[in-house]
Amino acid sequence: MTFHEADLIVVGGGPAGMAAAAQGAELGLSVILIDDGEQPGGQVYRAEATGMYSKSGVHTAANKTAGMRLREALFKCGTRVLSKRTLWSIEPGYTAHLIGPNGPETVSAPRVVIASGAYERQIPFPGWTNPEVIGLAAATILLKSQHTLPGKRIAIAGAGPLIYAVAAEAISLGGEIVAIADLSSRLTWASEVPKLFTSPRLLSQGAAWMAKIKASGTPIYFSHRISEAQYTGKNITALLSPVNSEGELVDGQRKSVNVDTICIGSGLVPATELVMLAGAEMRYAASEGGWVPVRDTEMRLSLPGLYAAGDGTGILGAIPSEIEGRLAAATAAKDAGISEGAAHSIARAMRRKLAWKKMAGRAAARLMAIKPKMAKDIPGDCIVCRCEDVHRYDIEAAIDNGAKDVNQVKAWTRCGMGPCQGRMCRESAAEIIASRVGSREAVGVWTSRAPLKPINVSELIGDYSYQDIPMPKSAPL
Amino acid sequence: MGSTTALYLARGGMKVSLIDRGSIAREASGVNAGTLTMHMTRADLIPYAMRGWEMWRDADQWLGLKSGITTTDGLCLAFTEEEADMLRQRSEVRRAAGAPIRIIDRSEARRIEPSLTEKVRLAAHCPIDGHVSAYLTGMAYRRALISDGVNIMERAGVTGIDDLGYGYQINTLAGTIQARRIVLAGGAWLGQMLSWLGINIRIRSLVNQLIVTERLPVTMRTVITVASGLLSLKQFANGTTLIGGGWQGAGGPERNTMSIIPENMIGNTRLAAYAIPALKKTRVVRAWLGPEAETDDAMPIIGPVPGRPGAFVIGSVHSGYTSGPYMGRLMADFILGRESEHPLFPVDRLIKNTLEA
Ligand SMILES: Cc1cc2nc3c(=O)[nH]c(=O)nc-3n(C[C@H](O)[C@H](O)[C@H](O)COP(=O)(O)OP(=O)(O)OC[C@H]3O[C@@H](n4cnc5c(N)ncnc54)[C@H](O)[C@@H]3O)c2cc1C
Ligand SMILES: Cc1cc2nc3c(=O)[nH]c(=O)nc-3n(C[C@H](O)[C@H](O)[C@H](O)COP(=O)(O)OP(=O)(O)OC[C@H]3O[C@@H](n4cnc5c(N)ncnc54)[C@H](O)[C@@H]3O)c2cc1C
Repeated sequence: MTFHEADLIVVGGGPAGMAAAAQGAELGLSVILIDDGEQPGGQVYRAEATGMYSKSGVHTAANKTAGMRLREALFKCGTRVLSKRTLWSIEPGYTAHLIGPNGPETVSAPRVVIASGAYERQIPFPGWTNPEVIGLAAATILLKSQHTLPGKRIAIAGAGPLIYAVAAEAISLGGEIVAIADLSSRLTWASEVPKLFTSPRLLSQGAAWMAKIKASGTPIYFSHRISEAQYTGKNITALLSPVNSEGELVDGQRKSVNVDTICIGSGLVPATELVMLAGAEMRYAASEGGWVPVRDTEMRLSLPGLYAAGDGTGILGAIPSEIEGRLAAATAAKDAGISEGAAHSIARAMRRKLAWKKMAGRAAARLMAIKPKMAKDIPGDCIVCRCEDVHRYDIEAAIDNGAKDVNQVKAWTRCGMGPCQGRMCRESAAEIIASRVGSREAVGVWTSRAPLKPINVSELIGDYSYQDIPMPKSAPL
Repeated sequence: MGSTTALYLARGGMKVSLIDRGSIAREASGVNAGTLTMHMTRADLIPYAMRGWEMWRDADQWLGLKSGITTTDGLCLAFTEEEADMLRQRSEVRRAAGAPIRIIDRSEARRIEPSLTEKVRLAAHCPIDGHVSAYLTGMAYRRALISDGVNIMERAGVTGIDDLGYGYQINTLAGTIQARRIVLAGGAWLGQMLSWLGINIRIRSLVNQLIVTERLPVTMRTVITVASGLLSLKQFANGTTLIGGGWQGAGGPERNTMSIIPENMIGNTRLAAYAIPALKKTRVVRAWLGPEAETDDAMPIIGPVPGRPGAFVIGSVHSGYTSGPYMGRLMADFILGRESEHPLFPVDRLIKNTLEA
């Protein structure tokens, strides 16, 4: 097993992680960055697969430059970049356990910046488990990294800027977007857009997306969501239904669209599994995306030596994530007593910048936040947990039998026990339980367990002979 | 064990409250491997485990638990000559204690379990092994307890017990309650509970590790264990496999203090994949830890609390999920003044030891 040591471990190679690593190294810390992607980049600055070149791309241009700048800084700064590695467990102190092309590896450092990003929230509807229905993130990977269209005739539904990003990119590549269903109303957008002025880049990007969508004549249905998707011959018919501001279905005209692909995503949820596994304190903040770690203004978590930055701490967007990454690394350097003066002034500058830049990020986060009645209309016979085939009625039955929190429901129904480890159904299951038992705080959050992502047994155990098994003492007879 | 004791006391006509600081069956009894096995049971506990196995088999009758119970063959393996000797010796002792275990050779073992490695040297076979999905335990018990009139008090952590002379006052975070009799069944927290009644004996907490894999296309039909007792492995009806065997984690017994020791996770998985090579094609989805009590002699404490009339204790039972229901019934029978089929395990032996030490 390979063993590495450093002053600082950075987990995640998105904007927050790349910036943290570069800043940390610049201040004189020895840094190791761990990321499970082929190359650092994370969600928004996802590197193109080798040999790919962009044919068009309305929105990638600005992102690509920003991403390249961060990647360059990262590779120049002397950080050891461990790509294609998944951190699957962490021990206090801190020792991180990785799995990757070289099998198991461990990395030790007294300080860790967690920049694990976010994943999508999916709210189930009948038909959402069909293979033609994919997440916006998966669509983005196809579009950004492979320059491939997810389908020819596409419906896009969900919340926040992402639906428009995916639509614009697909149109650029020649796809037909049959309809866009936006959970938010035109009015909500009108009240949040002014806050995006703090981020001119976002604003111009948004304007470019909207221009592209408008030019293609794609219809946008505000205050709508997909309530059902059914096969009609080779294609699939999505039913777009009107919703109110709480996300609840309401009477009104519904619209059927015939497509071959549906891309969905009802906002982003901070990926907090690692923070929770480490045992840091959490709080629930719906407007920031859900359960988030408790932090001080300099990015420290409740445990010594642990820091967190970026979308994994509350949905922010790429630019504030980068600033948070720098701030976290400067704080870590300060706490380590390395380049204290420089670290201090960087931390101060970053804190000021953050306050301003966060406004746009939080506006986008609010657009993507869970709506109070979003899970209300999931029918009883609809699958909530696709890994384990758990229906809404199974969850309801567990509550009838006395389950009072999400972990108890998990034990009694297997909801969230499958290979996706509950990332897909965490939100909808918690909403269903909270609607009967009390608040999201009261029903809690699924316990985070190692391994943080499924590990191939063959990679974990490697080649070994019987003597290589570190056998403990025999059990008593 | 507290839940079964409560259930049978209620069925015996007593008015019973079951107090738990969390929800019932969420600690050891809700997170354990659920292996029902004679091969891993301590020899002296075999008669109890066999009764426990029967109770699990018939759990639809007395507990109303209909799903998640599988009874099947168990194989215990040896891979080296040293282990083969150990297997012969241990199997003989367990057989003498009443378990229907016999030694078989490699080819017979592989006939019984075709997915077994050819590297097995010797095996022992037992026709009465099996497994239960432990995570369903709490749901079944809750229904049974409620329908038999047990007052379930959850989220009522006990902070201390006062001996009133004519009974006990139990102080909980959710208020106090008085009772003529009290049964301590605190699992890994049993030592603390006994100290409330002035009994100080050493009970350590093991932190047992379990690993679950993704669904595996190959079907394993038996429960696999090894001579040293360091592996328990089986496949559930949904295709997932569960790897256990008492490998340890760090911390404990409180849930948020336990953490995986990765070397042990790798070691346990290596041993499992050595026995069933098809496991190499699957993925580890999740690992977790659970606390289990162990006394100095690693034997149960079940019986009256010395010098405290009306107070009883039950716990620290090795492979205590297998025999748990029977142990609980035994405890209830004793309290109800009925004759017990097998002797209890009085705590007195450990108190004497402490004085001598
Ligand atoms: C589909 C999609 C499109 C988006 N488009 C835009 C956009 O156009 N403009 C914009 O401003 N924002 C966009 N966002 C939001 C933007 O991605 C985030 O705000 C930003 O990427 C957050 O940066 P981050 O560093 O916090 O996390 P991320 O960029 O998500 O990076 C986290 C990285 O950590 C890795 N990681 C996590 N856990 C582990 C682990 N245990 N082991 C190893 N690696 C791990 C992840 O794989 C990932 O590479 C988009 C988000 C998504 C999901
Ligand atoms: C990971 C693991 C795997 C195992 N695998 C197997 C197996 O495969 N086969 C087998 O036969 N056995 C197995 N065992 C052993 C078996 O699970 C235990 O022997 C058995 O479940 C113990 O039951 P119990 O009732 O004594 O303890 P528990 O089930 O732990 O119950 C103790 C209860 O006391 C409560 N409590 C504690 N303190 C207080 C307080 N202050 N106030 C109120 N309530 C309190 C707790 O909340 C808990 O509900 C395993 C154990 C573990 C941990």
